[in-house]
Amino acid sequence: MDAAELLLITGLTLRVSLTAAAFSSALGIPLGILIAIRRKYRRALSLAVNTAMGTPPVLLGLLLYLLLSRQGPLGFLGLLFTPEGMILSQFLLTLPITTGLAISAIESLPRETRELIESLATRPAFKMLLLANEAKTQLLAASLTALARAVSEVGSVIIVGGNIRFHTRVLTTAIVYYTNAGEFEAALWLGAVLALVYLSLNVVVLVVRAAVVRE
Amino acid sequence: MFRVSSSRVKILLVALPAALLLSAFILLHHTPSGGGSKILRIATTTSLDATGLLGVLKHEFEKRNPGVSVTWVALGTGQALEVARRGDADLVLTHDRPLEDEFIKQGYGVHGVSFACNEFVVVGPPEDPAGVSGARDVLEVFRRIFEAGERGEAVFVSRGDKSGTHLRELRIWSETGVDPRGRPWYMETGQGMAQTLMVADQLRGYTLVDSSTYTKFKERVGLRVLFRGDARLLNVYRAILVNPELFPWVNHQLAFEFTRFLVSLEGQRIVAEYEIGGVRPFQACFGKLGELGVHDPYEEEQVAYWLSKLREKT
Repeated sequence: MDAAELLLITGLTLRVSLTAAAFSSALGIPLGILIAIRRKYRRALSLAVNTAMGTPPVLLGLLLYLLLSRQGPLGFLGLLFTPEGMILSQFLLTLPITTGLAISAIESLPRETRELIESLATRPAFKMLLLANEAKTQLLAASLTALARAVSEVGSVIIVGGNIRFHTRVLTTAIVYYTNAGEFEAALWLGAVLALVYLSLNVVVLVVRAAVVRE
Repeated sequence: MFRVSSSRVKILLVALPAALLLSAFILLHHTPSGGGSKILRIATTTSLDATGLLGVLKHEFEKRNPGVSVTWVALGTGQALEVARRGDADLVLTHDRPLEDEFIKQGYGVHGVSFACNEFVVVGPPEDPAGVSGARDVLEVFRRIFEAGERGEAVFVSRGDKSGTHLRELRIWSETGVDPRGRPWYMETGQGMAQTLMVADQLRGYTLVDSSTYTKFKERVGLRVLFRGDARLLNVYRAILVNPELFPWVNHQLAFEFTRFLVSLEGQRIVAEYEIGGVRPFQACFGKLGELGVHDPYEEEQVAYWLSKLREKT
């Protein structure tokens, strides 16, 4: 493995995880807020979401493999062993996380704040926006958690992506590969890069958070 | 803390998810979506990948065919054939004849042809507690390991993953008439050859390994080759094209081109001259199975087919 390949692997890791986390945040956060302000079935829904959070990635990977395989129901999409297939897997994996964390972010707002918002706004969409504004730091953390999960996950992407060199090999699956091949040194270097990627994501979030709080 | 919302907050909160979605879509479509027909997808056995031979073949093939991209998923033989059975690969490179014959007979594979071979060897700790190094044939080797295992003096580490190596090991066990499965000294790793070798090394156990993988790792493990040379240990790698009539989406053209390259003089030369650490782990064996003691009418038929295709090209 040379520097160019390491760069390629890191780039693909970022692209897959950022895309998946962006999709799951854009969908999961509004969904979470919606569930949190429901009166009916709120508990049942959040129970379902919390259960989905614990889905073992390998199980999701297997199900997606069967779905996306050419002979599976979604085979015509040709997504198996492609980066897009991996994005789908990471999106599905992180969707319950953003949703679940958004629910608890809204639920943990001070009671007065929630009541005030409920009494103020009439349109539900507007209510949701105000609630999201109050909980923005926790919602940001929800997105970051989803991103961290997508970056560090291996079980599902290795099944759906196939760990194809130069095509679907990301940092975690590369670590698996080099460990299997007995090239522990390369595997450790990849681990260091993974840690570095994660550190820089955290730094970005820290900066954004500081800016939000100051405002 | 709570402010009645300004329009700014409203804009921000609408803009943020929108921006997220937008960036996600941009990232999603950023893919250089390789025009399907230029990518060959191989389901291969791990040893061809782990030894680096496939990497060299890829490089040479891509050099001769600009714009083409050879990709592969490295799996055990059983799993690789399973991937191909679902139409998710264009070509398989595997090493278990009975499984391959079944794959071909069921109509999933066409024009299977052997292109490389080497041997399996029995490796174990240098002190050889089961005393296998003096055995007559591999059946006796396995029986001695079984007996030593029962006495608590030896450990056997198995792949346990339906790979070509694992299937070969199981066939040898069944020929000896003893069944090691479930015995406390019989360990199944369920992992690749390299990892199984490492486990065997740590446990000071015996294992069956293809000579190419062993060659690559022999500096790093304390295991020694204790038995080799039985005809039952011949390891033949075969390329099989996935049937395009069954799966119209497979890249039959590229699978054909790559296989023709494998059996061509150049391809065979690359296989034979590939070196790791001063050792050549593979032998070129297109059209030579008869000499090695394998008599298979199907193979002869396919050798004739590929020879005619090679002549057409020149």
